[in-house]
Amino acid sequence: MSHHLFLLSPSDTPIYNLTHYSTKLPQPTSSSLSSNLPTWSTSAFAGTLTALSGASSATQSHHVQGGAVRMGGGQDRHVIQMIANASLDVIEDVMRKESAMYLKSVDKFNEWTVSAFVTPGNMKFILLHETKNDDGIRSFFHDVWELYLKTMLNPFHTAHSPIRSIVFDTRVRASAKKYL
Amino acid sequence: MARVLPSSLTPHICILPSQDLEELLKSSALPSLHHILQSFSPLPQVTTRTTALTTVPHASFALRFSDLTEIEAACREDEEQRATRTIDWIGDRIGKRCAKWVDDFEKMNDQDVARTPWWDELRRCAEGDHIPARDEGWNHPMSIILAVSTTAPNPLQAITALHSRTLDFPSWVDVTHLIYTLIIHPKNSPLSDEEAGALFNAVRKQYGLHTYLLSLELPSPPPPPVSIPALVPRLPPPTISNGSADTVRPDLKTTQTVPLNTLRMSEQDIQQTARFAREFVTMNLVPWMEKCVIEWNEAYSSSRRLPSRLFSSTRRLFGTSSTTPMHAITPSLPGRSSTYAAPQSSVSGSTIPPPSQQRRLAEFATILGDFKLAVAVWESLRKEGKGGSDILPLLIAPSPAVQLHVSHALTTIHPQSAELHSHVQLRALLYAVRWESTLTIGDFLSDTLEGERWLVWAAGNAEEPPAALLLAHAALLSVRKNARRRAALWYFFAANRLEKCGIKPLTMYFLRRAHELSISRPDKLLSPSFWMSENKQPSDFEGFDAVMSGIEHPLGRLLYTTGDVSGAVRHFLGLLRWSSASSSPLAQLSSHTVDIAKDPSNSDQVFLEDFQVAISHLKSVSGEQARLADVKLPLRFVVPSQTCVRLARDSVEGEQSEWETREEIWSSFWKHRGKEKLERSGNAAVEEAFWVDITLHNPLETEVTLANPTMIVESSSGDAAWIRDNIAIETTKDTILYANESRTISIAIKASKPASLVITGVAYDFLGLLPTVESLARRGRRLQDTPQQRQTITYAPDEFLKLNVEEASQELAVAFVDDGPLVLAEGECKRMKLWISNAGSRDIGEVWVVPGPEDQLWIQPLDSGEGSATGIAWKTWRSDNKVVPPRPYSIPLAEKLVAAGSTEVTVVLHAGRKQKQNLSLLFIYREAEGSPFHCTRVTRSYEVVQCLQISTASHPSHSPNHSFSLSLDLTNILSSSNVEIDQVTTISANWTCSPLVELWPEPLRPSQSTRILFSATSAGDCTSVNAVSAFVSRKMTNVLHGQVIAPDDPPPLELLCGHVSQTFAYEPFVAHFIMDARRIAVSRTLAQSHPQIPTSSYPSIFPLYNPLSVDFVIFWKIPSEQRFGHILVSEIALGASHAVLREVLEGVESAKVKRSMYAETQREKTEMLQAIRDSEWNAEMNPVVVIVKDGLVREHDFSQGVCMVPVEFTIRNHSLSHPSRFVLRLDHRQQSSVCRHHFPAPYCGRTTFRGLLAPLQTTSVLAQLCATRPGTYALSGWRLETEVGEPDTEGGLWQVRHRYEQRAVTDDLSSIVVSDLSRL
Repeated sequence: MSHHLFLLSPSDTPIYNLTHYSTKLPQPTSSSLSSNLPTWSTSAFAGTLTALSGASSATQSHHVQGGAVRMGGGQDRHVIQMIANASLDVIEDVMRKESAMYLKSVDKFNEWTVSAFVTPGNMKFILLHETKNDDGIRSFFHDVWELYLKTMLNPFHTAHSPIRSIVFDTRVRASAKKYL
Repeated sequence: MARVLPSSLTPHICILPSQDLEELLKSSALPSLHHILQSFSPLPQVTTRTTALTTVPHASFALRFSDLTEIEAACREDEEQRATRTIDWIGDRIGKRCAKWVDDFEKMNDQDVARTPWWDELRRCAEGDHIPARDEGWNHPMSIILAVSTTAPNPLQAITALHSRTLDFPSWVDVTHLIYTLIIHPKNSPLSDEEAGALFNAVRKQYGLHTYLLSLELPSPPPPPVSIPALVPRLPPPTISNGSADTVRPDLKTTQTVPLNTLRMSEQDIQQTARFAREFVTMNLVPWMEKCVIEWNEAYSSSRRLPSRLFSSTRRLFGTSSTTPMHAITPSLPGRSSTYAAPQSSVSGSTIPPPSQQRRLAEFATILGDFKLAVAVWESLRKEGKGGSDILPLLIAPSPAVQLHVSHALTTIHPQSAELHSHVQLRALLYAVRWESTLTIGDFLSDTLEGERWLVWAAGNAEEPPAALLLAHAALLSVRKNARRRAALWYFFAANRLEKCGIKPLTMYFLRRAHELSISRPDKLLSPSFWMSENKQPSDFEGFDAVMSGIEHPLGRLLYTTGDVSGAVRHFLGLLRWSSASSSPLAQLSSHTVDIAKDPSNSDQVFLEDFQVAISHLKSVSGEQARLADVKLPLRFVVPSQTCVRLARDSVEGEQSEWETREEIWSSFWKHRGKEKLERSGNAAVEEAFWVDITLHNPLETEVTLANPTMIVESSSGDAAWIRDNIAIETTKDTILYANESRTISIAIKASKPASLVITGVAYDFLGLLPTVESLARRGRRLQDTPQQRQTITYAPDEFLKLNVEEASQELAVAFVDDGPLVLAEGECKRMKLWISNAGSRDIGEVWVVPGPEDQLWIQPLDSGEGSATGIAWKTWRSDNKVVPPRPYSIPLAEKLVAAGSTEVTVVLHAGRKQKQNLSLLFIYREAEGSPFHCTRVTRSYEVVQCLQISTASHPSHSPNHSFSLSLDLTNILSSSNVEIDQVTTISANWTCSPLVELWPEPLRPSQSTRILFSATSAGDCTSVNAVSAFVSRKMTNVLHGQVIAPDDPPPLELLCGHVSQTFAYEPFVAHFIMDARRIAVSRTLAQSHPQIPTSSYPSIFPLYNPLSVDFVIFWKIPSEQRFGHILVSEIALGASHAVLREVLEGVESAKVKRSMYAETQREKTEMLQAIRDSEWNAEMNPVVVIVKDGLVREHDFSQGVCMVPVEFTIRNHSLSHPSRFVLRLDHRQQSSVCRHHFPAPYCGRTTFRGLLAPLQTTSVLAQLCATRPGTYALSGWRLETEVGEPDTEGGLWQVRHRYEQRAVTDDLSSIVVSDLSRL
């Protein structure tokens, strides 16, 4: 269970990244309708019921394709970065349509779900994660945003300068530990 | 108009030809019948009817024909095995052809718009799947055409034989099909047309109406070939399991290899066949299908009625069993011969049911274009979990639901396990191909459907060529949607999977596409002011660095394996530009933070190793170097800003800044004397090696070797050949730089002729393989001269290291004669000899030496002998009172120093206070007046140890004869040696000091101390004090108002000297050192207290001597070590002063405040003001001192009455300039608390005394103490109020300058004792 966070400047230059290994167990991804049913019937009808309820075929497909190219643990730094980079296309699309800062899960690549957060200053925070955790990610993004704002208060900090502050790093890690 | 369905969703017709027909076709050079008929599909303008009897026109109605025996054989093969074979077959087909495809395709202009041949191939292969599957009915034969020809010996018997043949299908193949009989009647048939007609009628009579007589010409020399559309490629039957398969379908192979498909049929035959095909479809197949649909629909809608639905769903909920296949009981099937039904189940042996009737209904309705019915049936199938999600996207209008259907379709076939089975992969591929080919491209790529993602889902995690091509096609579609970054990712994934299958040309193409797409940057809708505010250009793009390296590295490796070694070399080298510290912000971050996710396998090392292997191979193969000419290292190892030239004569120790200080001293000294320049010392001499110090920094995370580093030098005086002949450049040994290491290497250069050299670069062999030249150019300064330059950043041309090599015509060698370690006592005067020789070829007529600003040096003149100490103790000493800046000393030469001539000079060094230091002497010399100066450097380190601890104290004197008493405490802190104090001299402008005791003649033994007391008396002349005060206050006014400081000197002072010993002999350099020591002490204090005032303006602001100060000079000698010296102590200022600068400071403070924009300026001003306020020139104190005459013992007979004791208070004004008025009040209640055991003094009579004291005047008042009993009476009970008046006021008016009040100090123990006589 790893998470990868990237902070990107408005021109998409990465200025910070973090890899976080969560110790929390992944949440069950079965839909609410089928999980209400007794266990003996779910296996036979899970497909039908999810189709009937119209719920979260996305989560299923994600689940199914899980383990496609296993690159958890960050061995493939370039694959993680490529996914983050590729998700920018969707993020830009979603940004045009929605005005919210937290864009929720915008994209999926193999087992990776990409959540994004766009600050009013057009900074993009991108998080690659493997399980659904909307509220936690929302809180985490808000924490990171606040920390980023504090970093931006430094008059010598431009939108392109990489964030090397130890304090920022420590606090983001603490927040990741708390929410992810 | 019905939507055109993909060919895999068209009716599948199986043909069973008789032996004679096959022979007939072979003899006419025609392919087998199903190939011939396939050429006539699709049929244009076919009309079908729905269950609601509305007509549906089909613009094209396609059919699929295949050989029945082939299908029967294929059905027996294991599905999984066949799927594996199919995937291998597809991979093989693509692998064989892709090299050409890629070549052709890359020549096209717009690669993103065109259809890619590999996708077309994949699609055709997937669509060509015609083997019936267990879970869907599309490939199950819809009709079986039994074909005979009239060339058979007995055609009727042949037909009967075909009809009686048992179908060899497994149980799961649906047997609902139309049996059709086709009689081909060629012209050369033994049967006449009439006989053929009779045969036809007989067959119709026996086997039903589904019969056709096809008369063909089939001319014996085959007619010219007519081109027909290429056949869909089909999976060849397995070769290993069934050896006879090769002979069955040899023509299949020809369709693969022959690109143009032709048919050698005459025009008439073609028309005949077309007519047959049309009739077969419109008259037989379609009506039969419509009939099936109507029947099945009945059954279906009856099952959908409420009770049955309720029942079935209840049963489902309680999980008794799954729904029974209703199709198991097939009541009546039209057109079906009973011959076929019976033996079928026995063949397969298992009882897997065929696809349900409902499913067949949906499929038939779909084929017939009855989409309304089809959608309803598919929906209900889907809800029961029996498929349908894969077809629904083709039938319903684009909506978000479509995407759900798609993902559901893929979910149901994809198993939960990670491994995907081949048939699952194939099925997913087939779905994806159907979706992609059926939906219009606009719908498919629309935001609601996002069809390109379907392909990715379908690809799953399979690592076979079809999955890779699905990803590649998704990438192609993404590019059309302008999602270029995502496209790059998918291309990369595709390449990744394809690489494992070994299809290299296409892998490389995908990687190249991914690379192109990653390089091209999407347009950002950012304001131009964003870039302006960031001070960056939009082109300065730094993206995710690992993306590029992740693409380039496999590309490089592929190039290497495919033989393009030089391309691979370039790629591997290019990868290094992303190395840790060079350009990537993320890499910088990861090196900084403790990131556990950091690439464990060091990527730099991998890249470097690959590069090394590739270039070694390239060299071994080609051997030529020319091909590497354009290979440039994307890294820099040399740090030009830290590269410098080191000359042999520079190699003395000492900070560069110290030498610069000395050069400044020289230049400011010589500025007023002449124009001759000091030649820079940075010139190398001919035939003398100099070194270039190159700082190398390795930005990589791995170790690199820079082999044979050397310099590239250019000269203005000659070309490369000249340089080769005249300049020897050293090539040092290989340098190994560890990860992130910085190191300095030195390369020696020796010139044999004078030249002006430009050091342009460093050359080395990177890893010993790649010759590289790095420039040493440094960027010129930022230009700010014109508005244009200020607006757009412009820099001066690059700068290089430059060096002049000249003939060593003039060179002075200076050395200390005694070069041992030097340890001096504090204040010691050390005589040293310098040996000066002319090492050049020309004469030297003038030599100067520049010491540091704190070095005290004296050059012995030529004529003075060794023992020229003077015995005259001087009384006064005139000083110009100026803090003279340090200056060079001229070294007297008896005569010119000719070449190789030498001389010796004696210098005396006076040790200062610092513990350890270097004596760095800059020698400046020239030939004669008018010629330029040259310089050389000498340095010597020495250590100073303290021998005497000195402290001074002063206090107002109780004696009426002198104002102050001074005491000088000396302690010998040496451990073993005795120190003799020979003389103590006091120097002051205003105070005449005289020793109160004689000097003790014995030496001070270790840890012994002595005290010498002095009295100080003022001459009473305060003119010098006033003059200096006026000067300082004028200058301070200028300073505080920020005015220009006029370069005038302070008024000179007459210094008075007092001596303890009258018989001391002074060395000639003593006066020089005393003045120098004072200057150094004053400069040091000023630099500390007034950091804002530049050193150069000290002479015109601050005087050297404060007239009130008293300096001691202590002359000492350590006979045992033959050391002697003197120490100047200047800590004491006597007398009162009265805030001379008060008016000036008030004036500045009350002046209108000029606001400054900068807080720093304001702060500096405040600091300066405070420093001046606290300076010694603004000292202010109470000038009046009260001295009580105490310690008196009075005897009195108290029987006689009270004792009246007179107490004398002496009041002295210590001010040299200002008069004071005083009021002395006596009050025993004021007495200090220390005297608790003493009686308070009971004063009687007058207790208040007033008086006026002129400067330095003393007065005494007499008070009466009335002692009533014997005892000790404290005398501290007094209070003095003082008013300091302004001197010389107009009209003699008293103007108060300061007021003070003072009492006895708290620990004042002054008392008188009155004893009683009567008790004795």
